[in-house]
Amino acid sequence: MMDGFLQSLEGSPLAVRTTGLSKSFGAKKALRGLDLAVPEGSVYVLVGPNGAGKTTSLRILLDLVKADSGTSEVLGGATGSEGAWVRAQIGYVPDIHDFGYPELAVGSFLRHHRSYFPAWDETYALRLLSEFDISTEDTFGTLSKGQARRVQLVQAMAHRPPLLLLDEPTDGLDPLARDHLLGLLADHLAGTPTTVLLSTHLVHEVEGLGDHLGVLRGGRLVAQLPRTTLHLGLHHLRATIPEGWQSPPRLLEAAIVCQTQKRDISWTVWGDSEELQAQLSASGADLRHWEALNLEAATRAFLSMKER
Amino acid sequence: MEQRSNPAPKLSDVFRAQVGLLMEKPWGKSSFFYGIILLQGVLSASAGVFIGFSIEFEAGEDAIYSMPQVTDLGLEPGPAAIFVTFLLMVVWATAWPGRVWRGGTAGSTDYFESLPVSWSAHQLVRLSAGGLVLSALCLLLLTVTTVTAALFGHGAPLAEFPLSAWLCYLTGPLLTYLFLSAFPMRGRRVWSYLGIAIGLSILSWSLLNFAGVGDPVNRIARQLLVGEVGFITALADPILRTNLAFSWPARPWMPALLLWSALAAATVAWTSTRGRRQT
Repeated sequence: MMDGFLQSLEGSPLAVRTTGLSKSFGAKKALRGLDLAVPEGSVYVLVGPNGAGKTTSLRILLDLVKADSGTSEVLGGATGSEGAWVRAQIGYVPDIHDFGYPELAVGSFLRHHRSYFPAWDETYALRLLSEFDISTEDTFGTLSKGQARRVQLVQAMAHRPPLLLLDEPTDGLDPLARDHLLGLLADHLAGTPTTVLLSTHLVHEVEGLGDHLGVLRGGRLVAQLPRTTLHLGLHHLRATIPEGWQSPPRLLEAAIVCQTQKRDISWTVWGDSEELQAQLSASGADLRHWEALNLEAATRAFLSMKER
Repeated sequence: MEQRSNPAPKLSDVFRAQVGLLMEKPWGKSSFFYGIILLQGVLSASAGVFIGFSIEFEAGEDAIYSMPQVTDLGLEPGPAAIFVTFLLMVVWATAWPGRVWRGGTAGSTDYFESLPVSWSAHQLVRLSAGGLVLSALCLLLLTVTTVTAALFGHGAPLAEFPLSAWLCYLTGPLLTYLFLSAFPMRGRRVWSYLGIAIGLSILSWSLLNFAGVGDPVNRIARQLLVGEVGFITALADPILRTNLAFSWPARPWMPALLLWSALAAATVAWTSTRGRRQT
């Protein structure tokens, strides 16, 4: 355990592991020593604002981008030296949906794509297309962004890869299309043991799917933990304090975000909730509200906390 | 979770997939493209057979300009048909890398590089697949030209061409394609592999030259240059252009040549530019 909310997750078998990954594009540092650990079978939600380094991280795992330093492994294979084998284990949905063949029919594209994946399940691909309401006769140039995203998801899932890398999969989708897409992804996960590494800056859209959270800020991982640990350890509390109130030292240590409005103070705290509640009550503060945080609120807290 | 491992593809399957992608009919389900290719073959052959650069026209009171004639170029109508076809094949070869590499857009580059094949092997497979399809198209064009020339009674000189000369007509466009492929692939690791491909091509070309079959091809290339420069110079001169417009006698090959030029331009536009999204 590196820190309370920055865990190495070494105890479980890992599908993805990066150590000290750094990458710069000119003067801009995209990644600064990234230590990512995605347990096998998990749905790992990698969140962060635009430019935090999410896409660069995924592209390094596919060997589309070379890291300046550090190592990265997928299912035990080094992403650089064993790139072809690693990519055979991955279903990838990039953040770009235009791949340069607007005149190509969906059916022709999938026929081309399946040549690269001997494990391709044609029956499953056709079923997914049918559920997504996409015709094999449709050409890419006539697909909407949402439809193109669905085709990308079919191409990523139909060879039943052990690892899915999804880069902003819900970006640009209307709420109905998003729910449909996430529903089919959940069905896929129920029927096929798969690890998912999903990057997004819209955490609320994947709230029900993720069981691990990683938060990137400025190319650095500021939080990485299982959802269960997050629920047990991260809380938001609000209290009214008396005049001349002194904060208990333990609360100061545990608070990662603190907001004051006259005599109302709210904290986002990390630690043993019962101990903190007891200390707060003993200090004379009137505890008004106490709740565990969902993924979106937790992300907001991690992104707004000061660097430790 | 039970750990699974998906197999990587065979390179032969990847090669077939790439050939299949290049042979995909553009413009949806239409066979229009293949029709155009065949039509270009017939037209270039007809233009070659009937080519009548035997034009003399007056540009002023004392000046008479003459365009080069087919016979001036040392060609009979049959070989002239091949000559025009060769020009068309080089145009195709110039545009072909655009079709194979699809402009190297971020989306297409990302897609192809994310496939489970080693990057360098994938580039070589794509290059080879592009070369094969281009050679097949050139062969088709040469066949149409030869048959058309023979139908017009000019097939005899072509029958005297040695096999190695026919081979040169295919390696010429292939070389052009290989060299120009370097541009869409520029800045990538393929340089070393492309270098090998180009080296082998130059070696083959030299061997063919050494065997004495390069001379006619080189002569054709030189004549092509002279003829083109003369034609472009005439078009650039306003007086000559006016004379061309009003004095050029209508000849059977003119509509064919104009249509051929338009089709060649359409082919270049199709292969070197990306289609725009409709939505």
